[in-house]
Parts: sequence; structure tokens; C-alpha cells
Amino acid sequence: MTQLFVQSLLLGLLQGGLYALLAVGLSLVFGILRVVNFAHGEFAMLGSFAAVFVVDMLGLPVWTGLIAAAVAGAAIAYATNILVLRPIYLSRMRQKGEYTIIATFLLSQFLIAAATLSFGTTYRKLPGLWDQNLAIFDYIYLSGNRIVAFVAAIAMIALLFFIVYRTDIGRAWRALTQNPLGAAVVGIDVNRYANLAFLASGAFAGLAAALLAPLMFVFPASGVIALVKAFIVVIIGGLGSIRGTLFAGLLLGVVEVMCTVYIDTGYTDAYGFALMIAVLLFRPQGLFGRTGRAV
Amino acid sequence: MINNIGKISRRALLASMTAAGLLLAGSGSAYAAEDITLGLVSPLSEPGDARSGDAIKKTADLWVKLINGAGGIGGRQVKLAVFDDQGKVEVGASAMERAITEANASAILGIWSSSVALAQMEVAKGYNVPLMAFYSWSDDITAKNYPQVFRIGPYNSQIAAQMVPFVKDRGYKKVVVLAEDTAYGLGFAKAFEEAVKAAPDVTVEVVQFQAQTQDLTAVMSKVAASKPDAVIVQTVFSATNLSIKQGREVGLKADIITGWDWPLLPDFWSTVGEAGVGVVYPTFSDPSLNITATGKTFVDAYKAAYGHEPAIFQYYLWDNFNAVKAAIEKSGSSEPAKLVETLPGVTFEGTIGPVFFRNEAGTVNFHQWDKFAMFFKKLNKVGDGEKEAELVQVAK
Amino acid sequence: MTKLTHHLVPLLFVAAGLGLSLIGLRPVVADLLILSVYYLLLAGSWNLLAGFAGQYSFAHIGLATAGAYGTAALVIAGGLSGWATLVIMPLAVALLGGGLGLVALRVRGVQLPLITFAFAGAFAVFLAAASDITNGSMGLQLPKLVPGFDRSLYLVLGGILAGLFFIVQNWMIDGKLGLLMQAIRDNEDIAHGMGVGIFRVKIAAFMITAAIAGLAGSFYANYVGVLAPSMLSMGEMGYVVAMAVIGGLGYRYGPLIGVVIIRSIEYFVRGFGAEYTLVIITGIALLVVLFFREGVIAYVSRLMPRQTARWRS
Repeated sequence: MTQLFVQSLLLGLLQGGLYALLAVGLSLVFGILRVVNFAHGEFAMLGSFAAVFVVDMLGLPVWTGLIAAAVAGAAIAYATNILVLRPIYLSRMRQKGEYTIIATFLLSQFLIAAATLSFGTTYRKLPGLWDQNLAIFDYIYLSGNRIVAFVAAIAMIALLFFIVYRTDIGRAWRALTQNPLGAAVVGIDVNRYANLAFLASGAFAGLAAALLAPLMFVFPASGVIALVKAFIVVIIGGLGSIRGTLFAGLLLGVVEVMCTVYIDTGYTDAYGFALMIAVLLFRPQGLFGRTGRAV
Repeated sequence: MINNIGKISRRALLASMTAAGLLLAGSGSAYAAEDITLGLVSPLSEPGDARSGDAIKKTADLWVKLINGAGGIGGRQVKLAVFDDQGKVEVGASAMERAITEANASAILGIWSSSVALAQMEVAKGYNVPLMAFYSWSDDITAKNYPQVFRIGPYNSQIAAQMVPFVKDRGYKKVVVLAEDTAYGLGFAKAFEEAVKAAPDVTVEVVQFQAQTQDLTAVMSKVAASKPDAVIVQTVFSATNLSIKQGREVGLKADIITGWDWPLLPDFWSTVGEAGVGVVYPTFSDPSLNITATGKTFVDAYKAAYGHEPAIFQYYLWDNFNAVKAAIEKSGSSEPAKLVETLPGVTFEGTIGPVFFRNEAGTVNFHQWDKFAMFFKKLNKVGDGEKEAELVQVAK
Repeated sequence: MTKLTHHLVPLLFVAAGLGLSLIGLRPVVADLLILSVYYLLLAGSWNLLAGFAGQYSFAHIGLATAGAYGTAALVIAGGLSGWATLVIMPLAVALLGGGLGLVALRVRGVQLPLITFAFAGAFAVFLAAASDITNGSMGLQLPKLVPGFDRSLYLVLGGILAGLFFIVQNWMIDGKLGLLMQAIRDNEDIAHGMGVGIFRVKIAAFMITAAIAGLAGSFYANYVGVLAPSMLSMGEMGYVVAMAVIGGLGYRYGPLIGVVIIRSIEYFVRGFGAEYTLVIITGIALLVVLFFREGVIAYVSRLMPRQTARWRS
């Protein structure tokens, strides 16, 4: 059935764009600080709650919700860096990488529990910019919100490309990624650029969540799935590679939808895990990661 | 082993020589002897179905408030001992044991997931304490014929059997059962596949998905592509609303029959929107139901307290509480063992009619109340509630 | 603490198990202690793997779950007695652990937590989705070692298993293996250069800790009698990690202290508000991670006179 195939392929690609947007901040932060942030999904979750608050409670237009989500995500990411992560990666302890994982893992569990307590477990909906189900030639069916979300995601990733490759901030980020010590020697302020990276990472996660929210729902545990998807994407694409993240996001979207439709509907989340395990075993640096990268 | 509370302080002293001593302090909590304690063991947090757990707790709190306001049961005040089962079998079983041995609960109410309930039944049997089920649908709950287990509410095989005539009458030839991978979803799917053998020209396909999923677009695309006449959705988590929203998004044209009363929960219309129009939901509740005086008291008090209508499963829970009350009044005792003896014979006015248990040993109709009718109702416009929904069919 | 005291600890646990079973605890307290042994075995073996060998695996709870479901399979389909599974499953899970060890040889640093996270996640999906085999979230029931609600035997068994764990831990930490593990943890490249057999040490560390996790799972299955996929949630892994970290990661008695602290909090908090349990526990764990980075043990021993400061291994 070609209709199902085309439909699935398209859904997968559109979904994948959002996966990439969710993951790109995680990858950026890892590249610069070598920090794997398990609380990344909660930046997204809290961002989407901020959007619901602004749009549903204050009654402001939908696009302000997107901004609110980005701002909230950025603020929480910034606070996480200052309060939780910086004391660890500036310390002299061994195995900082592993320890930051534990710290952010516990932070994420705490944020989920706290959000459940304060917001309750009811599902909330965020209106989208294009709340209409489209039937294109009566062949392809999808929501206008999906197209909006995909376009926005690609635009944001393009913006990040521009920042990374055409601005001074981006040059500093790349310098830190390639050689933290060397970057510090030539006068690049690690703290400042780490903060900027976290702000960007949180903003992207919050925005991605607010774009996803009209397609799904907003609730406290929603960050867990976001985190898992972001991890899979980052691992497949190669930690620290933006290009790889974009490609891997699209790949994950397509693989998930295709396998769910053509293999078994009951195992949706397992396909991503399988892909991630395969990549880690056979190409640990990821599809686009450079060999020899100090991971 | 069980009734050794008196000696605990000396034991705590001994045990404190080990590192475990800390854990023992504070046990043996005091409670007023004249109070009646009822145990409420429900899913109050994730990964349990906390949304329903919340509704259960609201109902229970209200009942206790009303009863105590009216002077309690036989002059004795009622206390609720609340425990969270987290939707986990082992936590549910130990929470129940704690309610029995520690809070001295006379009966256990509020149980929800069938899987948890099946493990809890063993505890009820071991301690000889009544376990009141209401919306746990597994046949096994009463089919196991434990003297301590009672159910005021429906069960899978009967529900499935009642659904078949509906499917036939509507002329559905190809039906997809969209089932979450839990006792609730797969248990119903299995029962329905069995029951539908009575209608040989209807083909059934079961599509299973992960209960906690947040994205059903892929699954719904597959369902839509197989062009069924009807999709029966059997889930309790976010998929109740997702399947409708995303099903319509990917061009699903079939009738959607969503089990069960979820369209009446406050988040239905706000999350589903336009896509909810045309959805049919089976329910045990309808305005044509003969709501008794007891039922009216409940509904009015509930609306006053929480600002929205209770769902039908909350009626059954109310009846569960009243069954325990009736048994305490009849036997003049709140001893669990006495209640186990008395409960099979109680009759009282429930929320939607007289309640009494069928006691046919060896069948699923053991300690089972089954005087419920099943209504199929259609939502014709956004915001439709129970009163506005169109009654499509009744199965008795 | 001297070596002698370390060797007395296992005896203390065995004696405590026997003593508690004789005086007859209230079932709820017994339940709490018995399941605490399950958590002690898990947090303790994870501490050996992460705190001493530096291998941060997130699949540990997955190994325990494999041990539990394996036990159920042997008892239900194989008709074996629960006692036999307590011996067989640790060996079987050790092989799984060996496989993880092979993976750990291939990936380094933060990739290990990530790939083990993926293994555990995929296994959890399988347990729920393959319900025709695992019975999914309907729960898999198996006969208990002792039918009914008499816990005295489990208290004895729990005391013995906890004692056994401390014997294994003493043997590892005080022996050559423990030193080699710590050398790898501190700097794998230098350790390799000094002639530490990375392959053998990593595989051994993974296999031994996996065997303990498998034992924990088998004990759990034989005690609880019902298994469900919720046993393997990331929240549960978070519990185990929190226990080890709060007590003190890389300290011999860190997990023990962590288990006592968290299980006590859980016990007391459950009574008045279940919804606060998780916030409180994760909040405390987070504070410990941020401000007492080496856990309660290190903090307390710093307050004490110098002799006791040698708790640090």
C-alpha cells in the first residue's frame, strides 16, 4: 500500500524535525562542557507548562506561548548550570562526567515529582498556530500544526548553524569543543560561553516542547519521553555534532514510524533503543562524530 | 505474627542494635478505639493511573465527610486510611497489608487496576478482610470465588458480550480493537475476540500499543490504512484522548468507540476539541438511569464540593462504601471477619437501584452485583456532556 | 574500622535476621526490612560497580528484573523449587553481566551510562509488550518460598543474603581485584600502562555485581510472588542510585546507610502523604549530591575523631 508508506514516511520526517530540535541543545552542551544532561527533558516539560500558562491562563495569543516556553526553558537551563552543574565541573573530583549524569538524573526525578505535585496529572492542551487537519489530495493526512512545527524546527536549527559558524559566540563554542584548555589559554571565558550554551539549549528544548504540545499533550511526565528521544538522537548523530543531530532526528522519526507500522505496533519505543545500541556498539562516536573525539 | 503490637517497644530496643533500628521507631501508632477505619488503596501517583486515583480519593473523602456529618455509623466516626499503590502490584499488596495490620482497616476499598487487585486478593484472603472492587474488570476477581472479595461493577466477559450485539446492529464488518498493553486493554481485547465468535461475519483485529505512549500517529496511520468500520479504544492513559485526536488527524474515517466514561472527564474536550465530535462511548451511566435518593445525595454533594459531575465508576465506589456501611450496621461490628460473613447477604439502596450480591459459587457471578445496563452514547457537538450525548443503543 | 570489624558485619546481619525472626515482627515492619535487603543488594553491588570500578551502569535494575523473571520462568515452566533458583539465577545473570562487561570494553566514559540506559529501556518495553510471554502488566504470579504471610524464614534468609553480600564485598575490596578496580576507576589509561588487565578486571567486576543483582531479583521474586514490568522503571533505578549516592558512593558502608535513610523516609512519609514521598526523597538526594558530594558517611566521619575516619576504603 503506497498510501500508507508515503504517509508514514512523511509523518516520520516531520516528527524527526522536532526530535532534532529537542536534541540539538543537549548535543551543544555536551560538545562544550562534556556534560550529559539528564534533566534536558524537564527543560522541555517546564517550557510547555509555561506556554500553557501564558496562553490558557493569561489568554495571550499562541505565538507568545512559544516565546514563553523558550524563555522558561532557557531560565531553568541557566539555573541548572549555575546551581547544579558548575560546582561539579569546576571541582577537582574524578569522573566528573559520570557524576554530572547522576546529579542531573536526580534533578530530573525531582523536577518531575515537584511538577506532579504542583500541576497535577491532568493532561493539558496547547492550541497551535494552524489547528486544522489537512487532507492533501485525500491521500496524505496531517495536522497543520505538524507543518508549522517542522518548519519552525528547521528554521531554528538553521539559526543555530548560523550562530555556530558565523558569529563570535559560535567560534568560541567551537574552540571550546575542540580544545577546552587551548580555548582558555587564548582568553575564552569558559563560564560565559557555558552559560550561553545552556541558555540556547534550554530555549531550544522549551520551544520544541511548545511546538509538540498542540500535537500531543502537556503533563508532568512528558519530559521523560522527550529526554529519551533526545538521547537517542544525540547518540546516533554523534555527541557534539549539530549536523549529525539533524540527520539522526529525521532518521529516528522515520525508523520509529516505519517499524511501528510495518513490524509491530506494541514496541514503538524499543526501535529507537535498538538503533542507539547498534550505533554505540559499531560506531561509538556516532554517525557524524569525529573519531578520536575525547568522549 | 499479626497481633503483637503490644511488645513492640522492647523489640525496637533489641533491633536498634542493628542498623535497622531506625526503621522501627514510630510503629504502633495510636488510634481511637471507637473509630471505624476503612482502608483506601488506590493509584495516587505515577506510574499508576493517578488521574482516576484522584477521582477515587475525592469520592472517598466526600463519603466520609457526609457520613461523619450525619453522626457516623451507629454513632462511631469513620476514618480513612489512605495508601498509594503506585499502580504496582507489589506496592499494592504491601500497602494493603499495611492498611490491614497497621491501620486496622475493617475493609479495603478504592482498588483500581485489575493486575494490582489480583495480587491484593491474596492478602485479603490471608487476613480474612473484605476487599471491595468496583471498576476492576478482570473476570478472575470474582471468578476465583474468594469469600473475601466483592465487586459492585462490571467485568470483561459480560461487557464484551454486551458489545457484540451493538457491533452487529450498527452493521460493522471490520472492527479494530486498539488496546493498551495492560490487564485492562489486553484483557478486554481477549474477551471481545472470544465473544465476537457469536457473530461470524465480523472480523476483529487487535492492535496493541504501549500504555504510556504520547504519540499514536504511527499506530493510528496503520489503523486508518486498514480502513475499518469501527475502532474500539481500550485504554486509561493519555491514549484515551490521543487516539481520537491523532486518529482523525491521520484520516481515520471509522466510528470511534472509546471505552469508557473518559469523555466525561474534565480534560476530554479541552484536549480533543473538534475531533471528539461523533465519538461513541459505551457507559453504564445515562440520565435515564433511575438515580435513587442515595444517588441524588451523592451527585449533589459531589457537584457542590468539586464543581463537576461524577463519573459512573464513582457511583459504584459510593455503593461500595455503602455496602460496607450496611454490613457494619447489620452485624453490629466492624470486625473484618464479621463483615466477610455479613456482606454476601446485605441489601441496601444503591445510587442507581437496590444493591445485592449474586452468590453463585463456581461462576464469575460470585459476590458480584450485576444489575447494570450498558448504554452507547454519541457526542454530537463540542462540549457535549452526559446529558447532551445522544443515546444510540442500550444493552441489558 | 579494622579488618576484623569488617568481618564481623556479616555475622551481625545473620544474627540480626535470626533474632528478628524469633521475636516476630509486625508484618509491615518485616516487609520493610526484607525488601530493604533487596535494595541493599542492588545499591551495594551498584556501589561496587560504579563507586569502586567506575563503571556507571544504568542497567543494574534491569539485571535484577532479569533475575526475577528468570526465577519465575524456572519455577513456573521448569517446575524447579524457589530454593534452586536462588542458586541458578545469580549464575545466569552473571553471564548477562559478562555481556555488559564486553559492551563496557567497547564504549568509554559517559557512553556506558547511555548505552546501559538504552538496554534497560528496551528491556522494559519488551516486558510490557510481549505480554503473551511475560504476562505484561497483568503481573506474573509465582508460588512463594513460604506460602502465606509468615515472614520469619524470609527474615533469616534476608539476614544471610545481606551477610553474604558483605562477605563478597570484603573479599573484593580487600583483595587484589578491588585494588585493580579502583586503579581503572581512577585512570584507565595509566592502569592499562601499569599492566592492569583491563579486560579481566572489568569482566570480573561486571559478572560479580551482576550475580548479586540477579540474586536480589531472585530473592524478590521468591518473596513478593508477583512480577510486573514496573519493577524496571527509571524511577526504581533512581532509587538505587540515590541510595548509593546519599550514603556515599565509593564507601564500603555507603549503600547500607543510604538504604536505611531512604527506606526510613519512605516508611514515615507514606503514612501522611504519598504524593510527597518522591519530592522529599529526590530532593534530599539532590541536596546530598550538591552539598555533601561524598555522601553522609564522608560528612559524618569528618566530624568524628581521626580513627573512625578510616571508614573510607
